[in-house]
Amino acid sequence: MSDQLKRFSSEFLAQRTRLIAYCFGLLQDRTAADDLFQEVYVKMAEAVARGENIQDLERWCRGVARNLALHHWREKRTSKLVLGESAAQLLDKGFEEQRQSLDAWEGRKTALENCLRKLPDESRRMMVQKYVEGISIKSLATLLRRTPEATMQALFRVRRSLMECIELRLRAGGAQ
Amino acid sequence: MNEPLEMLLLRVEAGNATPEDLAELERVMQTPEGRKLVVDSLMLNAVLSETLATGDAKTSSSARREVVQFHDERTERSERTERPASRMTGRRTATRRARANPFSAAMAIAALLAVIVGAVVLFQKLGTPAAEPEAKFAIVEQFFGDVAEVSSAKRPISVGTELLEGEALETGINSYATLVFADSTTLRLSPNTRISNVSLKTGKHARLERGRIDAEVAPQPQNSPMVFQTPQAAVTVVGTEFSLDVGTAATRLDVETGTVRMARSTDGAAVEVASRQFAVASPEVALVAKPKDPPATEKRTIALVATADTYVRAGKEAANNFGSEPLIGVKHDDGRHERESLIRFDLSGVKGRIVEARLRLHVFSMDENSRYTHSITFLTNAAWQENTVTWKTRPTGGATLATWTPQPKGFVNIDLTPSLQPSFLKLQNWDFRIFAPNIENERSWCFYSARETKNPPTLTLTVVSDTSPPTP
Repeated sequence: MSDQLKRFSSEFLAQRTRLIAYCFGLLQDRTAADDLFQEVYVKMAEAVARGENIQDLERWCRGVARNLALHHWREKRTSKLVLGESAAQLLDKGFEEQRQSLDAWEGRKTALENCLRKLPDESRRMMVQKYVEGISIKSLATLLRRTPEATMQALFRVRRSLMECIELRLRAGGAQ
Repeated sequence: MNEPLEMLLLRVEAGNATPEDLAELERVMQTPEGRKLVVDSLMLNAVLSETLATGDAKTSSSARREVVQFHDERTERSERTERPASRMTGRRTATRRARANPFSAAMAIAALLAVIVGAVVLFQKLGTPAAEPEAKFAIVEQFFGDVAEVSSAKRPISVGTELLEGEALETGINSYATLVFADSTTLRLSPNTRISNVSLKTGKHARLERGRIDAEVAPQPQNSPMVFQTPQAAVTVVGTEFSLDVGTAATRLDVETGTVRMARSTDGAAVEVASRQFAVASPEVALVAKPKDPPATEKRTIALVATADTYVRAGKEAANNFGSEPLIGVKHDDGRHERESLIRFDLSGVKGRIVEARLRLHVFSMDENSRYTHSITFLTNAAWQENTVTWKTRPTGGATLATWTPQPKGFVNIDLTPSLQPSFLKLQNWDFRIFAPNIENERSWCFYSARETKNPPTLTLTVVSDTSPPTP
């Protein structure tokens, strides 16, 4: 691996969370978002090997992800593409606008770890199934023996409680 | 947190969004405030995934272990016990260490990308030098019979065994093995076959010393094709399906699809062998590509979806039936929570001689730290019914057809061809039992998607039927 690629790879990995979030926004599928993220990495490595001048890596990666999702993903994969071109551009705009504030999410991670510990067992399991196992809402509903609507409502409640917990901890002056 | 927007995003993710919902989402994102809410929601998704996956044992790994025990716990919560620490073998312990330390986790992510993306994709796409000398690049996906992996010292293999640079694989009499590379290139070794010097140093390279391989080679970089060396020839492949048969005096190449170059070792003469052609490299005969014999038979591929499937459970659930569940499961632990699965395919509409059979299962969810092997047996004249069979009434026994180690997220393809028996071919129903063999002090679970899902168990058959014109 060249020094140039090492440097870009390091920067790329530092943006992993926000890029995965962006990919997920485009495809609404966690596994597909992971795949798209890896494809963006391959494109970046190819561009670096070609000597392409990448000025703003984050913006460049979002552009490649959007382009791959809009113009290639549908043909290549069975994954659904939910957002159209205009919505995808608005999503890109949102990530660009929030660029500075996205750094704050790094600080929220520690608070989130603590908040997750406070969750009831059943809620925590649901979070693991949804966000680690990558189980779809429909399958999760089957596993939980609930309707998809009730499952979505349950997910929303847990997410809201986590966000409130995070904000409370941050306002209290520390993540602990 | 904006409840209507969050619910809207969840509906979009679930695939339940109406065109009005999508229009509403776009309308919301017209404003900076709306965009911020959407971005925050997406960031929460990503951070949750990351934090739960890399969190400490309390928040993550214990919950992860319990995911599929969920049903058990709803009814048997009081009986649940933690795994003894003694079962925390190497891989699990290492994973725990990585989870407990965010830096380690970050390094793990970096390593994952470096290994998977760097070593595999970059190697292929950019033509950069090969992997580290000791890189593990091919694994044994299936084997049947007596297979020995040989390198400097012979060591036994199992499903999932990784070959190292320069190592060899050898099948014995009546044994088969399937070797799969990272790019899905697949080599099937027939009995009494030996491939050696399996290497990635200058493109994929292997020496076929004796026997026969059937190969499906994924597209290789133009400047580094895959090369098979035999005692009589070098066979160069960019991406195709073919078989190579090595005898004492000749090598025969049969190409199914694509084009393969064969160069004779004795004089360097070469020939391009195209689809449905064959060539023989031997000092005795001219090296030319010839059309394969016109088929007197027609080959067809038939994909059958399971007509019945279920799992059965031991312990308190031993008298209950789970035929309506969308999952089938295999679980092995302390005897109370055992699960086995039964699958049936109806072959009544299949006409002709079955020459290949492959079973495909979709891994829905599993204990990712498990390296547990599953077995499949053929049940002759089994009388189980999907909506009535229980652990107590389940059929057992049967001839073992294959073993494999399921991998998280994806499909398991089980080649049943080597173990097909003439007696199977007369049966209208093919019934399979899938279970985890009894290994002391081990626990493991895995759920496969059942026939009610979009990824049902599928049996793909290759059938040969006689198409010769009738004799007047």
